Amino acid sequence: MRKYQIQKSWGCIQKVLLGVMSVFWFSGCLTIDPPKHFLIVQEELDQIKALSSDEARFWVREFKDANQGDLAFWSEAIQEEFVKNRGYLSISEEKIQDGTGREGTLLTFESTLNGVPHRYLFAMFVIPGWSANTIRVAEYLAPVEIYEKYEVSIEQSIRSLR
Amino acid sequence: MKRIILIAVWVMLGGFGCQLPVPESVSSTQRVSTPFELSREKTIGGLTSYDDYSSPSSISGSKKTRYASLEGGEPEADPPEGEEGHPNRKVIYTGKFTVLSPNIEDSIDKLIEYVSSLKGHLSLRRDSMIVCRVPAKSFQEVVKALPRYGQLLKKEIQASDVTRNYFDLELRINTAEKALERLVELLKKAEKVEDILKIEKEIHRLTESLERMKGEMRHLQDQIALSTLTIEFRTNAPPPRHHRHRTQSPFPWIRRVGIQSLLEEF
Repeated sequence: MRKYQIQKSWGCIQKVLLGVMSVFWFSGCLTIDPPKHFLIVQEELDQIKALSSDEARFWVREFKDANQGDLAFWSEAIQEEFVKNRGYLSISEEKIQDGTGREGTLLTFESTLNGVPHRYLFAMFVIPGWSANTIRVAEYLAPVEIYEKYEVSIEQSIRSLR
Repeated sequence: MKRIILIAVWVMLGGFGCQLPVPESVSSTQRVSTPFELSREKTIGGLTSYDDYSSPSSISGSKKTRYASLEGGEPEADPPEGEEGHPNRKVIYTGKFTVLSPNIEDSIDKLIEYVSSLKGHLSLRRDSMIVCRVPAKSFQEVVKALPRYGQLLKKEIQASDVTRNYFDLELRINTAEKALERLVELLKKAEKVEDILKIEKEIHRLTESLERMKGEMRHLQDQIALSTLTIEFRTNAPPPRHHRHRTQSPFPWIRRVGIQSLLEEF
């Protein structure tokens, strides 16, 4: 009887451990529906890189933030850096939700590279954590005429981010 | 002595396009030594195609004739260089370009560096416009490389064939040099002060025009040897804004995002 109880307890502990591990494992793993006409060229736990045939770039990645700044703080910091420090032209600022319903910021900028005007999309979500927050960032860069071609599918993909 | 003076004046005028009747008193053996005819003998090797004219200014033969006559002549001290297949052709290449660049200063610096690597040099820099001189053989190479420094908006290339001018000028210089030599010889033989003064005046005048022609020739040779490229840079990048002087974001993760990282680290 005692032996049976020990076995039963051990089974429970195993299940709990497995559950905890799964939570840790999957909480740190990026999942996303890739944008249409894009090919994933690199996929890791904390980043995904995708390219279109005409070399538009899409990059989703995560950063740890031990200071635990919130979305409003980082949105302002990003605007400050990109517009005032790097000279990007701010085109728009919107709110966006990811696949879990978490609210994020969607910013678009324009800048000239090698004489060609490019558009740059920057989406950001802040995932609160126990000791550090996770900042999840999606970036998309392409010359203006190519940018418009994939804009909708990129936004759809970002909305599927989990 | 009067004969000598007459010959000298006739030599001068005859050498630069004026047709004076040969004095009857001058014998046929003296007449052979007109400066232009002498230079013709040397330059074109006695080809019959030039027999009809008597002064350099009347040279107006076609390219074909001129090339043929030059090829048939004695080898020159400085053989002309030119396009492949046309060893005697003299062409001046010039190009005007407009380039769209997000960073004009950077593009200009890089282009100057490239031009220097081809043994060219910067001739003028004014605001966002530069004028470069490159060896003619590297002209096309530079034109092809321009898109590296921005988007090529305007391209205008001109190739001016100056073969006729070049060889006309060369011929005139040879003629004038011969005439000068002859005048110096006459000066040595002259006895009367009046004659000496007249010859010296003529030598002075001829030397001046010779120097002017040599200057023209140097300019022409320079234009042929080095092509000229005028490049105007424009930008469509957002105009610079007043902002705090800062080189890096204080937040490490922000330093790792943006267009540059997407291009370089992707």
